[in-house]
Amino acid sequence: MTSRECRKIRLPTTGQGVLLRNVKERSHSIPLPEEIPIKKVQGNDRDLLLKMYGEMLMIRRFEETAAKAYAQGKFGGFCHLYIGQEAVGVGALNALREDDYVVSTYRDHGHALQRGLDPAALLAELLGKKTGIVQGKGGSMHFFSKEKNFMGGHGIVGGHVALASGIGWSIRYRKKDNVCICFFGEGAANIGAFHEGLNLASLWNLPVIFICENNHYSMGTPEYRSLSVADVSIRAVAYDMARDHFSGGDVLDVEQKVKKYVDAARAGEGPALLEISTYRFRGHSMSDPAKYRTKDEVETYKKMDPLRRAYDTLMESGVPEKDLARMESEVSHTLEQALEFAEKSEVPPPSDLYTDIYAP
Amino acid sequence: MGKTKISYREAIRRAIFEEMQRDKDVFLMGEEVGYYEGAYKATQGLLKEFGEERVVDTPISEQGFAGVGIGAAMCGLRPIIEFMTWNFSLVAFDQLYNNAAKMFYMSGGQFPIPVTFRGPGGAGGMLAAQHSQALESLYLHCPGLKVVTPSTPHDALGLLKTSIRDNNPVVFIEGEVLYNVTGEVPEEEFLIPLGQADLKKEGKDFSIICWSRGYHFALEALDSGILLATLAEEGDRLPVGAPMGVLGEMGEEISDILEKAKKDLEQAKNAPAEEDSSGKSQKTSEAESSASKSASSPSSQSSESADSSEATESSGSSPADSDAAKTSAAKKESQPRSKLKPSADVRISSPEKPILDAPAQNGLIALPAHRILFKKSKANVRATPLARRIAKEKNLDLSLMEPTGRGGTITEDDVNEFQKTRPTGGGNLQIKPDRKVELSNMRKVIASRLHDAKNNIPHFYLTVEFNAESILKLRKSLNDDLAAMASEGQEVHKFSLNDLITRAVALSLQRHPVVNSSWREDHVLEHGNIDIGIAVAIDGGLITPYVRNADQISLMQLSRKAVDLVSRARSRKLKPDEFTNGTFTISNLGMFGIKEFSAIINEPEAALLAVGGIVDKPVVKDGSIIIEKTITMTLSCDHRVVDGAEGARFLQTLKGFIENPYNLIVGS
Repeated sequence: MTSRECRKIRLPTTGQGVLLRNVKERSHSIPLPEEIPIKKVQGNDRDLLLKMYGEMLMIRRFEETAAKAYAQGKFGGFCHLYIGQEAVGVGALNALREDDYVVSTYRDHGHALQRGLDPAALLAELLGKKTGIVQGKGGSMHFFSKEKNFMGGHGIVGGHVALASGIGWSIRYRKKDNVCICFFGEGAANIGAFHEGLNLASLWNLPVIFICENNHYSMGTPEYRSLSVADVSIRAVAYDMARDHFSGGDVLDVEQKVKKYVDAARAGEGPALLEISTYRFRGHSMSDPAKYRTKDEVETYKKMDPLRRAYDTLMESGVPEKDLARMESEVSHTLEQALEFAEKSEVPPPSDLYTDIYAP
Repeated sequence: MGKTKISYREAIRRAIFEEMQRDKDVFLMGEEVGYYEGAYKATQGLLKEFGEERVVDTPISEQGFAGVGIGAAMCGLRPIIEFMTWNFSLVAFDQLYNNAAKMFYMSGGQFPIPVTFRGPGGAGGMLAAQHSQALESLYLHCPGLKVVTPSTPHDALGLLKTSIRDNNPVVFIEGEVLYNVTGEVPEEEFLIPLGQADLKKEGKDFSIICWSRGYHFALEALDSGILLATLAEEGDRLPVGAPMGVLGEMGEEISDILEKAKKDLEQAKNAPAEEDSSGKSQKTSEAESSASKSASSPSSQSSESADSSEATESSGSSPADSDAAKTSAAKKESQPRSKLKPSADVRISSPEKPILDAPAQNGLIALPAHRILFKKSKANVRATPLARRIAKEKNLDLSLMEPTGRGGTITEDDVNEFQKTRPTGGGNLQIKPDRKVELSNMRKVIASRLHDAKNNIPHFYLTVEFNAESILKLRKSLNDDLAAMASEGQEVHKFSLNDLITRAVALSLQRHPVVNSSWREDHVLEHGNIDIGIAVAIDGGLITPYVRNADQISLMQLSRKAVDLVSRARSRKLKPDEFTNGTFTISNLGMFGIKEFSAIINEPEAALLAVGGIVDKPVVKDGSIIIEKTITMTLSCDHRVVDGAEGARFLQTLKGFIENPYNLIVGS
């Protein structure tokens, strides 16, 4: 568990140096998704996909409920929606065990739901109610659940990456075989805490999977105006860390690929940096009309909607439509009840401002 | 319980050692903490004891390992995260401020963060701006963090152990220059609770609140003695580094130090204003007389001394005048400085405003902030061994020498320089012998009269506070009228507040003859006349001339009489019958800033009125708070003659006159 004794990988010493940079060849647009034909699935895969479809559906409808409530003025503050990115969170987190750890960003609704946090407590949190998951003290960006090892939505971009290494550290310190998944966007890959967190995780061989959900825009800035690399996972090379880059369009595919790295980390083989390409269908937050993207670009990605793709795959694989429709109505019902619960809940008393500042 | 003497560094090490031994969840992480054993050697031997798993060297990556500590704490561990110095914590500021401090709150109380961030902080020696910072105030402003800054080995040990056990993120800032400070600690394990001030030394006049290294400065000041002389007054502006006072033992001979300090002060004052002083030196005699004045009255501040030199210039053509100025200044020096009462408990001034701005009343000394010239105790003097030896051989006091060596060290040259400037005798302070002062006749009379009065008369005291707004208004309008009516060149008379009070007392006495009486053993004598004495402080004592028939003469007559009596009292030209056989006395110390006081009755009178100064006070009027000028008076009564109720009724009448003072002019 201590530092690796010797770094085995060395670049060849040529004495010549290598000029790799060719700025002209850099892209000046964001990559469009490849179209992948839908394949039938069966057996365990079909069951898993059906389960994950339900989970993605829950996230999608939850976010739509949140957006509607926000538009109706039922709550304020920030609200960053996960719509379009569901396959990443659902796929990756299905690779985890229940007692594993998850650290998330300010776009944390999807990850929290996927880890089994009660949608009613989450909606109540959005509405700032005492029954919220953190008693109305966090709102949209700060979902936490100690019970589910959901280690928080964090509001400072990239600041939480180092925390994930700390969680990995504690797993090793206690000689457990857990794994921690840390989500962040490509915008966070340019901040110091990201690099320091990765360096320490690799140095100490910590069981942390760093997942960059590359949705190609850090707020309004496209990746080609902020990243010096076309693929964030290239940065893993600098830290001698396992890496991969793949599309987040197919939830089953995401689950299978992430699981490989999770299992390796669990076996003590150290961390990995994965870039999963995805797209948010809405703006950065509810206050962002997303005018920096072309209509064509958005439409192209929407055609590749992972939820739709899962639906089509299931239909193709012989799942009866009425089963999927029943799922839809169950999710709707759950969320109706959740929203009602949230709305009926009390706001915290003003005295709550002064509680939980210091731990007893 | 046994005690042992250890260094601050050892205290830190022992705290970490004990806590790591006690609790397996505690681990230490930071730059150079393991193999290097700490940049300040505070973690010596810990790697050997606990191994690499629990004593963890990190790369230079403050943000990274601070975050690791917080993440580990979220999982229930108790990390000790060392910053090699707190200066480097700033690159991890987001981790401390946004993550450590707020996680417990943001998670609705689910995730406490029991991390101790520790390391040296505060000013270091010659480390420049980036490595010499006291950041505690910065962290103190973040809810969720606890900030601990121990000043002694005892505190460091007890507080660090408590910090590690605390369930909150603790910012533990060790004094960078304190690691070698030693002190006693109990041999047995002990804890000191966080958040409680430790009273290091009791006093009564004011509190010095300090932490970390400041405690040692404050302690040094406390041990430095009492204020023997001041070189600057409240409100003075002095250059940084200028001496402002001399501290020493009671009764100590300080003329050497004083001279040197004055020289330093003059130098310091003149240094930034070279042109000014050269301009003035053209008029040599004036400059000299002003210099002698400012030397004998050290209170004069730079702007004032400029004023006084102008004043001397205007009358400077007459050498007699300038002599007179010198004499009066010399006299002033021999007077006790009532404003600056050296008190054994007030020994330090600090740059902190609250202490400085404290009013100079209640015996509290408020000094400007810049520097007290410490008479250093021998233990604190830094000197080279050679300098020390020469000084010892020649019996010279190192503490009086001006160090020029590095870090304030006295060198051989300094000792030689000191010898040159002090050709005779050793450098040791001489003890000034006690002086026998023969009693003047006046002193004898005062002593015997007041002693008898206090012993014979059963005194009791009644104190009343009056609203002084109206009487002050009246006085102003009277004086304005007088000024307006005066023809040009005519000297304008001014009523004093005392004139109005005397008149008010006289008219009140008219209505309460009992108060205007004398005890005559077998009877009480009610006086027909109302002769009011005004206590006047003069050189060497005090005297009470009487305004005769004060109730019958006009206010103007009363006022002129009082001015005449007071001025002749001061020049000792009163005739005996002018200060004997009165019926009532008024003593006023208001002009000295005294709020209220009780005086001894002037025998054989039956009462005396002690008048305090005008004080602004908040008063509730019609449901809202307003500021009103008030004046407090205390009537001392001879109980054989005046009973409580009678005295009180007298004061009621007096209150009527003071608060509705127009009756004073109308008469009654």
